[in-house]
Amino acid sequence: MRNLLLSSLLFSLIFSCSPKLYKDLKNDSERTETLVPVFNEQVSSYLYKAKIDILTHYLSGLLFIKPIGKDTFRLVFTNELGVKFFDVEYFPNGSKVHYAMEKLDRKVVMNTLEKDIKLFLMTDFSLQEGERLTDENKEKKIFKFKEKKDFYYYFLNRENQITRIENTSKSKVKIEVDLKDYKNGIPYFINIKHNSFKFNIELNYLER
Amino acid sequence: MHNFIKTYIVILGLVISGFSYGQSPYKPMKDTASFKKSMAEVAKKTRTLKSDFVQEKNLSVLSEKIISKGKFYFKKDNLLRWEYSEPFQYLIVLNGESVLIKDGQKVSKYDVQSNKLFKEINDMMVGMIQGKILSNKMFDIAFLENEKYFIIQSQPLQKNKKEFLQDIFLFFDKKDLGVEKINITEPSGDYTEIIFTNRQTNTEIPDAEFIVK
Repeated sequence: MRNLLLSSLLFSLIFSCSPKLYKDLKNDSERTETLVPVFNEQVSSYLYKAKIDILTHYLSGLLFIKPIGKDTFRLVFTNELGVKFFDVEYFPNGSKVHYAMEKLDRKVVMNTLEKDIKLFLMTDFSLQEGERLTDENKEKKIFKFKEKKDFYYYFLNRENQITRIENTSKSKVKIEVDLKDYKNGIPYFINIKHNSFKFNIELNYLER
Repeated sequence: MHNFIKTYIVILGLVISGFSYGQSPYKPMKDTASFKKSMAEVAKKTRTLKSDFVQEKNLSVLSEKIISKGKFYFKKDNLLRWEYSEPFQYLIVLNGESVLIKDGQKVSKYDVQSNKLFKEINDMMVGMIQGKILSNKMFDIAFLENEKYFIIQSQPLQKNKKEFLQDIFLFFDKKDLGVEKINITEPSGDYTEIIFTNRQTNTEIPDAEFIVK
């Protein structure tokens, strides 16, 4: 009996220690703006200098993003000298690997990459179905999506540009993306950070 | 991940050396012996090389190009500086026993001897300077020409290189036997072209250019 008490106490303690994320946010029915994806067909292509820290490795190169139709993008990642790491087409609920260097061509690598990239390609949601949320003071503009056990939050600034993306479980943020320094609708700085292991991608826009 | 760096270094090595083979739109070279002899003489006389370069990465399927620009320095026996300045900053220096890469503020250093591939490149470079550039086991080589250029076409023999590398074409200006253009083709049809302009031979290049801070 004592054990049961103790364990139930412990259980409730643990439970109360993992608060639900953003439980203070509430529905915002007054807002009418639409969620515009970070990348779109208005721009013919995007080029970023990419720095990737993964576990003990560091990798750098150029990330080329080309919208090739509605909700479809081709991403090519090369090193500075032009040697290709991967060339992948992303579309709603799928992708096609046109090329991946042998070392990268593993399911776990390509799937993690796809998940990260799709956070800002936003091809897998119906954007109209996002839940509009705000805080107590109605200062924040947030869109929330749910997919299986995961939640996706998109934070907008006053110009309705996406400045932060979070992929969360019920209680913690798993992947966070910061987008800054918008010029002509293009974020010049993007940082993607995983909280479960060391995997960080920094993208800096290259003007051509 | 070091292999990626090795890959670029191999290609860089080829920039200043030269090897190959294959089929191509060019005619076979008429007088290979005399070309090799002249090359050896040029190599012997060359103490330093300095040039601007434009690198064009052609993504064939997307009809898109990624263009970058920079400077190239070489000093006998084994000092090399390959520096991008547009639209990003990225520097690779081969300095005798070490390879240094500066990416923004981040400097990484690799030891040539501790790494088989870096050693191969190093040996290749020294070989080139000594005029023995055309004896290499990593590539199959063909000698070609057209009106303007002598061309060396190289195809990798190793499986791990064939994966991303189809040919390397080195274009030597017939007038002075300097490398004016390099074309690196991939099995996918994408290719990278590097064009050298403002080529200068035997100008003074201070050793400080081959130190990375």
